[in-house]
Amino acid sequence: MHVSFEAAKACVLIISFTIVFLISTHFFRRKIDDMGIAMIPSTLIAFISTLPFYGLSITRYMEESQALFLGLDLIENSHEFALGAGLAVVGFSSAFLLSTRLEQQEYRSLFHVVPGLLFIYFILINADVCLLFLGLCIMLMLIGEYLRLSGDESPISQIAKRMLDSALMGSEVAGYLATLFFLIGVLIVILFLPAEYAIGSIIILSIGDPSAVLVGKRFGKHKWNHNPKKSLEGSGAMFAVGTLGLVLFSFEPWVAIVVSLSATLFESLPLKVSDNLIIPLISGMVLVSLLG
Amino acid sequence: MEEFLIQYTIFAAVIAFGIIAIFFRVLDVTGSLVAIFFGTLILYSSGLNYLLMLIAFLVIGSLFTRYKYGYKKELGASEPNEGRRSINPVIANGIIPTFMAVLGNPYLLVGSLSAALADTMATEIGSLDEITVLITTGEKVKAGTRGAISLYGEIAAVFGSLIIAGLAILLTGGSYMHMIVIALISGLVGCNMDSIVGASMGFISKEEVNLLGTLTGAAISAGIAVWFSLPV
Repeated sequence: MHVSFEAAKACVLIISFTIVFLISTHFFRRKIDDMGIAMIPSTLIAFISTLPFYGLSITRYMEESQALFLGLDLIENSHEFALGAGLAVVGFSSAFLLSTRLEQQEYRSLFHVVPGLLFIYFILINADVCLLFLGLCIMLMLIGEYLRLSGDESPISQIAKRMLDSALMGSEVAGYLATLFFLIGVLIVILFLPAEYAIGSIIILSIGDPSAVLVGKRFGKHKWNHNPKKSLEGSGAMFAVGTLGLVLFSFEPWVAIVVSLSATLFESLPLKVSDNLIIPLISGMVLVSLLG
Repeated sequence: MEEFLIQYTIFAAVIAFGIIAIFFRVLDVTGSLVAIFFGTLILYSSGLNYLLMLIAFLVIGSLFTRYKYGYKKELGASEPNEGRRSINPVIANGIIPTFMAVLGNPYLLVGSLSAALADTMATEIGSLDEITVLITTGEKVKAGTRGAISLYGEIAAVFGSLIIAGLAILLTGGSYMHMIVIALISGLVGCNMDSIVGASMGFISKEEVNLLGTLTGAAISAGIAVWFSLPV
């Protein structure tokens, strides 16, 4: 594990907080009509549910959070973080500009390139920051998804819906779930795999998979026998781009080929599970069993 | 050289198991290919004992699917394809346990695997139960409905978790108490989380519900392992 134990704990607790929060909100909503008011007791319950992990002491909770924050080297690495933020703005705005020229599905998968590259960049600077950022993203996605699907009319849901819609550029509603699985996949590889392997998996996920969609949609003539929705051209593009990406990040060519090939083959299957979750897990597992 | 021979023998055994699984109608051809791939990964990273855990899960799950299959089919609560697992069930139930097995962490493996087996057994036994209620609202529903739970189903989930705990103690080591606690809690929470997600989110596919269940099991087991200061 290359991330610090404290950051991993904080990230997992952020997510478990969110889940407890959402489940209790769901139950309170039966008695209380307004979503905003139902959220108040559930915030309390969710907070209490995290306290056992800090020895039931609020002082320790505060101390550990402070230590975690100081350990992030935010000041020392401020230049890098500023650069990352700048790159994020440039990346997301160019994705937005591209969105007018692309179809929905192409745009959705291309949209994953930007956060994927950002995650890799942040892992290279400080993986803890990346992990906390990821935890917050998942929290926002889960709450936003819940509010969106609850079909609730109270003001707080409307605000959340509007914010999420603008953050994900308007019409992109069906993409929420795909993005959630993308984030979970990235989270698992960062938490459990060494940094290089995590980076390798994220490359295949965030660059290889979009190239399969882009090439397959435009030039896909020869369909796979086992899955008429995927084409040989798309899979070929994913294999080539994935291999190239891994070689650029100093993996040995044969490793790059094997990893990329297995991810490509799994992507071409008629999966009913989101491939955003399957691809990083498969590439991570292959990397671990090849390189130990 | 001898190690190589042993490795190849075991690899051949994995492939043979895949073929036997097709023959006994546990897996279909595509499911078997995926299972052989997963088995090979585990074999080359963590070794035979971890692989045996997953094979045991597959066999036990399949036995429970067969149990009173005709009756369940009449109820409309049976697995499709005569209970033969194809790609999607294998990936949905198997990928998180395989990932944990590849990492070589017995506690996380037990957490995700007990959630998977508890869910399978609860589904197969629970759909035979006469009284089944929806987990979110407590409303009485037909057996086999998404998100329905029943008393016998929950008892089956406990047994499923205990089976995994027992296998883990035999195969991967670890203290009795920790394994049983981890398997029971993550099995039950994972299995019920599966029902909650299935009941409340109709838009998620059944496979994704299963995958989220095993993921919850793994997360819970990680939490408990940290709690007992076990290696994660």
